[in-house]
Amino acid sequence: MKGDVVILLDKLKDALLRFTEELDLEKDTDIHYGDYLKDLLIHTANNYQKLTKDLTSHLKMPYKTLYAMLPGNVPMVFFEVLPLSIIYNIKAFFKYPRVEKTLYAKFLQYLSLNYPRLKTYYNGAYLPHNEAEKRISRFDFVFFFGSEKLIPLLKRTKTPFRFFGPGFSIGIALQDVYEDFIKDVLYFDQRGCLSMKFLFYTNDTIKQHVIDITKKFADKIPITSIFSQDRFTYRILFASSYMDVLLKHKNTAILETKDDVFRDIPLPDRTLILKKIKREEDIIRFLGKKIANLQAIATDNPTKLRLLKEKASFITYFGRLQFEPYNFFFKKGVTLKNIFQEVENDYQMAKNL
Amino acid sequence: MELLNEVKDHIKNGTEFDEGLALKIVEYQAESIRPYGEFLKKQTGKTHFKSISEVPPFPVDFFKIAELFALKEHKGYFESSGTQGTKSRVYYNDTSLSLYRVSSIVSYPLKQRPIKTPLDMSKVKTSSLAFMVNHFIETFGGKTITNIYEEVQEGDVLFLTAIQLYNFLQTAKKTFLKRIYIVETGGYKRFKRAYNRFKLYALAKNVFKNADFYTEYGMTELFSQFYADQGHPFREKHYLKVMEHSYGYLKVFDFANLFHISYIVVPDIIDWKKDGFEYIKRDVEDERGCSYTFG
Repeated sequence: MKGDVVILLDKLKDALLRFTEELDLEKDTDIHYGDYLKDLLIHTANNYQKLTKDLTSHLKMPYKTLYAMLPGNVPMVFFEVLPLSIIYNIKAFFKYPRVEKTLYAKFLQYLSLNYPRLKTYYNGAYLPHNEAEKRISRFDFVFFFGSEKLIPLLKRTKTPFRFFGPGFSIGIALQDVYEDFIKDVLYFDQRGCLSMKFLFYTNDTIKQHVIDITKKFADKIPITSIFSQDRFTYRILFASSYMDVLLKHKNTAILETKDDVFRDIPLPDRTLILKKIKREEDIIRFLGKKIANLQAIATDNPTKLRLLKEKASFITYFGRLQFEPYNFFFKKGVTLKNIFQEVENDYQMAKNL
Repeated sequence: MELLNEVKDHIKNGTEFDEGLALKIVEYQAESIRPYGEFLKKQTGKTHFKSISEVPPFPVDFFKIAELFALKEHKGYFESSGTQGTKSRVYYNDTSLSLYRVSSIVSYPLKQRPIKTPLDMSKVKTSSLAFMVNHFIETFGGKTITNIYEEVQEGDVLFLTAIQLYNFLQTAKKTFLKRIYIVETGGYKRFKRAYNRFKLYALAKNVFKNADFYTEYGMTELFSQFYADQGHPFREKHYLKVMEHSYGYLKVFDFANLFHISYIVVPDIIDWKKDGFEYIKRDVEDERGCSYTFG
């Protein structure tokens, strides 16, 4: 007989699949990621069911309420936190980012109307920074998602927390890339830790292929509502002094670096940095200390990678970078079982401090 | 140096943007400042231009990582406040400072009035703002002060940052009735939100009943300054030209920057009005997602 937790997770899956089916992308101006978003939502819903595999009842931990401070432009995070509330029987409050706030509110409204029992687990709102911080003390545990800019806030926070972020992902083209790799790069303007920032390649045929695919899709994958054209142009001007410009489209670029070690300069959004390599060791040398922030790898042949297997949270095929595997919770080593364990100075790795 | 004299003469006596002189400056800087020459070559394939519209603006962030000075030896550098992280450095020597002195005085709208300021003048060698105000005090009289109520007299100019003004207003116990001129000189990046000088001055009017408000908008990387008086926008000058009259990043050509880089782009968002611009805010990424920030 199914336990309560399994039934609820089934319902959550059902709710998300139905919501996705009914989601009218045309009408929602800040939800404009098209079918890619729907694919991600369906993938996430299917992961809910896998979580029930080893569960018969709620998992136990001392906290009753969770505050999740969501990042902007990474819409899957919200949906990946949802099952944790059910599994641990904890009420969650989501602090929405400015972007995607409509999507999240819409989903909770959908639960309210169609799955009222599930809705009892969740609340959320878009709050100004100072108000968002004030609320923290009302909760038992906090999930912070975001960049190293959160560190001062983390240092002030007395409530137990986990910090997820920041990170970046890479691509490694051993034989070739295929078209879907561009989704790993351009969706959400590269603002997620599962966005591909660098692509390492082994031969010049691949390079040309990357340029051709990017040209083809640059206009088809939309910019987000907070994309800044000025910032893009400015950073291209800056970065292109150190790298070769292989492609400069109005809001998308490909740069190539010849440096053996990455020069730490501000990078434009929607810009892929190419680097030719001979072996995996070249990547490790190139990334240097930043490898601590490596999140995931997309490649044409995951089985071929030896050294980097241990460095990344997961390795997947091109086009699947943002489709998180089952039981991956935002950071290497974090699982369903240990996600509510507070880690002292959890932010130390945020910028190799 | 002929070009220096030509630039000084243009700043003092010119009336409109001199494109020919601007191109001469760009060529001089491309030859004398290696990273700038490399930048221009990389972006355009050349260092000689027929029109200023062909020249790409130089991102101001380069001042954080490169030594950009056209003369052989420098004797110090001005450093930015670094509120956004790494600090910019602008190197100088007596020759380049002579141009700073000329330009800052020509730009300044309240000549001949004594200046009173709570600014920290001990940083006169590393802060371009302190250097400039110190130069004004040497030229027009005045001093640093600790008590606004007691030390600012009728007809004085009170020169202070937005934060200093704001903090003073928060603790002001009584109104200030003397007729004075207040020059507020920014520092508003520390507010960490969009800055509205009109709101600040409306608040200040409750205390400074008879003051006229001026705003100075400058930065370490510019040896000339923009000023806005009363309710007007910031005005460009013939030697301090805003190169794109639109909404977006500030692109400015400053002739007084002869010995570093004249044509720069700054990640400050401005909104061009009919006869000048409003400063909106420093562009910062407020929703970075969870991606690692490079640089």
